[in-house]
Amino acid sequence: MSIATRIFISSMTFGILVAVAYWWDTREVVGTFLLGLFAVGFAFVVAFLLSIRSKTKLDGDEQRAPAELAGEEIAVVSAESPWPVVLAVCATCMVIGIVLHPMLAVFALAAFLVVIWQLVRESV
Amino acid sequence: MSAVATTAAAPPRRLVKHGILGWLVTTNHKQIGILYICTTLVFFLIAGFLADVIRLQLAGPQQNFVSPHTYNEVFTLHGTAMIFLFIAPFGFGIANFLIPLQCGAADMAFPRLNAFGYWLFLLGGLTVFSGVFAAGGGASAGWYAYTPLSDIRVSSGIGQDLWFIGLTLTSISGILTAINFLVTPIVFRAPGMTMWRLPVFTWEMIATSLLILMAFPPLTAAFAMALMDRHANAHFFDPTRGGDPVLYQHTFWFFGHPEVYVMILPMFGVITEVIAVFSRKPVFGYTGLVLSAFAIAGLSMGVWAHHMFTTGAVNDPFFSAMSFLIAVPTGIKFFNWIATMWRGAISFETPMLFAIGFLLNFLVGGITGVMVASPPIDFQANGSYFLVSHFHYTLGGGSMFAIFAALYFWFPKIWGVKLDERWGRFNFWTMFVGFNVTFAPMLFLGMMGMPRRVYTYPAIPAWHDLNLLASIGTAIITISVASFAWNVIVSSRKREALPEDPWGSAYTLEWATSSPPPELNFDSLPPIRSKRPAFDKHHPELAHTSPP
Amino acid sequence: MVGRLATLAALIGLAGCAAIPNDTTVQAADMHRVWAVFIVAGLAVYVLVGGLILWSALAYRRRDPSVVQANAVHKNTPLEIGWTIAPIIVVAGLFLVTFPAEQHVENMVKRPGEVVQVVAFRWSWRFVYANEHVVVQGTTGSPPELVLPENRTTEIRLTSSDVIHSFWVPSFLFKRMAIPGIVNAFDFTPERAGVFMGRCAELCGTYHAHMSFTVRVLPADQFARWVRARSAA
Repeated sequence: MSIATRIFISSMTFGILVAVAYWWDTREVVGTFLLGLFAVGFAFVVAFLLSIRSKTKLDGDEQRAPAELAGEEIAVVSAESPWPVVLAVCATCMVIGIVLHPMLAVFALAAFLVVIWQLVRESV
Repeated sequence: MSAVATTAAAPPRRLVKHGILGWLVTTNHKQIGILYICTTLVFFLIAGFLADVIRLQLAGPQQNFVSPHTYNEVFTLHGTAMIFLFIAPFGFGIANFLIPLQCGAADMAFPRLNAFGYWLFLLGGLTVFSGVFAAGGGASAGWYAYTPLSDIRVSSGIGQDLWFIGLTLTSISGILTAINFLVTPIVFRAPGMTMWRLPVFTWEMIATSLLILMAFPPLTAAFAMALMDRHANAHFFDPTRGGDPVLYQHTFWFFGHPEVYVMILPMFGVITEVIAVFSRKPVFGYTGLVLSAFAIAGLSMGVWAHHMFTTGAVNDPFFSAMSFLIAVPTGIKFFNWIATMWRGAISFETPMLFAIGFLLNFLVGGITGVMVASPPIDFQANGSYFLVSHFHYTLGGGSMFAIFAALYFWFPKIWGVKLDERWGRFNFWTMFVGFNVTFAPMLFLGMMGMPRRVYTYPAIPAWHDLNLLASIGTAIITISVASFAWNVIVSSRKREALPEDPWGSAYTLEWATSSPPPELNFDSLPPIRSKRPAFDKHHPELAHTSPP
Repeated sequence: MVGRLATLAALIGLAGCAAIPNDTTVQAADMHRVWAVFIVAGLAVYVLVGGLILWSALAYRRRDPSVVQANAVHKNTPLEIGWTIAPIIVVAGLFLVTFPAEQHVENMVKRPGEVVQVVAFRWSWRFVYANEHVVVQGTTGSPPELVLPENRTTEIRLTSSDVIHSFWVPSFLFKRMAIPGIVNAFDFTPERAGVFMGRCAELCGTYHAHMSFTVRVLPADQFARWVRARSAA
């Protein structure tokens, strides 16, 4: 079992234990719910990691790098993209608009959707 | 695969993207890290200026440099900027620069998401500041904005709304950033870089990222509910219509306590790296340091109500016991750091000076923290200057000192320039003296009965003397910060090219590439056979002593 | 050097204890004891750990600038287990000091000698002595006085009529939040006559700094006289 899986399993176990201890001591609903919720979130991650464990081998987990890895393509990274800053402006205008100026939110949402479409096109 | 050492005669290497447009569209983690670092330092200067205003007003009793309402705006913005716009995002910035390098990756797992996170952070911060120019002024309900004080009937200006909105944006930024910080070390490590060879800094960032994912969404929820109360006629927190103001405190502090660990865990990572390098010994107790990071992260989710002992609405013994327990993994870290120094060969370059200052200051912060974890003590200390001193010792004496250590230590790697040592020593000593002269008197002020967030105080001689002392200390801190800015200015005129490891005994993988690194981080990766791949590369005769 | 650190620590401890009274109420005596234990323990930890930090920094200075590694010692499992267990024992002890004191402070008697309803508002306080039909109304410019009988237990029923405030009497080592919609009840038994400062300790707006009050503890007969005079007025 990989270390990452063990990290998430211990965090989930801790969450369960604390949620139970908290409920037993205080009988307070909100805090118990929040603590239990984070245990549940970890449970999803643990389930995913356990379900893929036979299918994934990471280069980084090799103690000694095998020779056949030399010279292979490391990664494909996007060097630059205009969409992050544009998307951030749209998101900011959307949130400000929702609270203070509904028309701003509407325009920002439209622009946001256009940018998302461009991002998807850039990725495929 | 032979390692090629960069000779000192090679010219300084540049990052790839040029010009303002280049910075706007970059997705390179190193440039994004630099953006975070520079932006947070600007917010730090502004928040520091606000601290000067506070201490000028409080230097004597019953002064009137600022009006009572303006004073409330000043300390609200000071706390908000320091916490949300300086300390936490500086950690994200240095982590952004370092994590792919320390893992041997070419960039983060999701570079465009990374850039999006930065711009959201910047725009969120600017939104918070824009409140200052709004009608009615900026937010004035403190950095935690308890309801009903932050409700629309009491704080009716849009400054408070812009505060809630801006911090919602920075929270979302943090959550998205945490995704990159979690996925990259787990999936994108170079061959040979097993999880147990990762630097302690990267492990601390993994724990920090888990905390962010658990703790930031409740903050967004608290702010969404507060905004709905303000504008959508909701009554989550309005007691006159069936709501509960204490619910805001629960939801806020469920975020708020893990947030302080988000602000300190990266700094624990910085201190670990700096102490080991300048003590000329491997990191002592690596396993204990990693496990204690997760213990701290886990325990920190269960202590939020120690901020609410005086509400009378929480189970004090449970939260008190859990809060005491957090002292244990923190103590383990302290002992590991001391053991790293023990029987070492220590030199006192500026990063090491700040690291030792961190140890002494955070010790006070930790001890006073254990004190206020005890409800009978908290009944006196909460809401007083004792508490102000406690959290400044941990955040200022702790995180801020670690930030300076990080700046001095990694400046050559990031910018290819080493900061001047003489100005660095001046920076450190003025900061250490100034900081303690400012915050030690506050412990006594709190015990004597001075509440926090007051724009003035009665003309009691002891209070006047201690406040004046604190204000003098702040002036010394200001001089110290100015000396750092001056250091950057005079040092950037230097033209000598730096080697991969300008300190001579560095360990982690970022020191095995040029200063600054090329676009994809490594022209060639060294063999990774231990926890100290850069040290093994530069000192192959000692590689057999490296911890596996 | 450790000796000098210890002396400094002792002086700080004395100054700290002097800043905190211990004889104003029965509950304050408990809380003062907790303060004293924690200040002593805290100073001891500071001297021990701070001393180790300074000692290592100074004793293990690098003498030969060409040294690149002093040694490769990087673990000691028995030591690490030891310094995990020792802090657990220390904090367990601190909790055992805390818990009974807190229970004692929070404990309320069934039949208090006096019941005073305290209402916090922006920016002063109102004290209502329900049984005696006495109301003391403060204003921001003229802080009110809470008059209490010595050696009798007074129950305070604390609330707010607008935002959250906090009722703090530093000399009693105690504060509690005044929350709208909630009545926070607690009691104390003053043991010493005198006049004590009271402040609001939770940010409540523009004049938070001016929301003060005083607590005047009178011997029982003088208190009775005060009540008669106020209820006649």
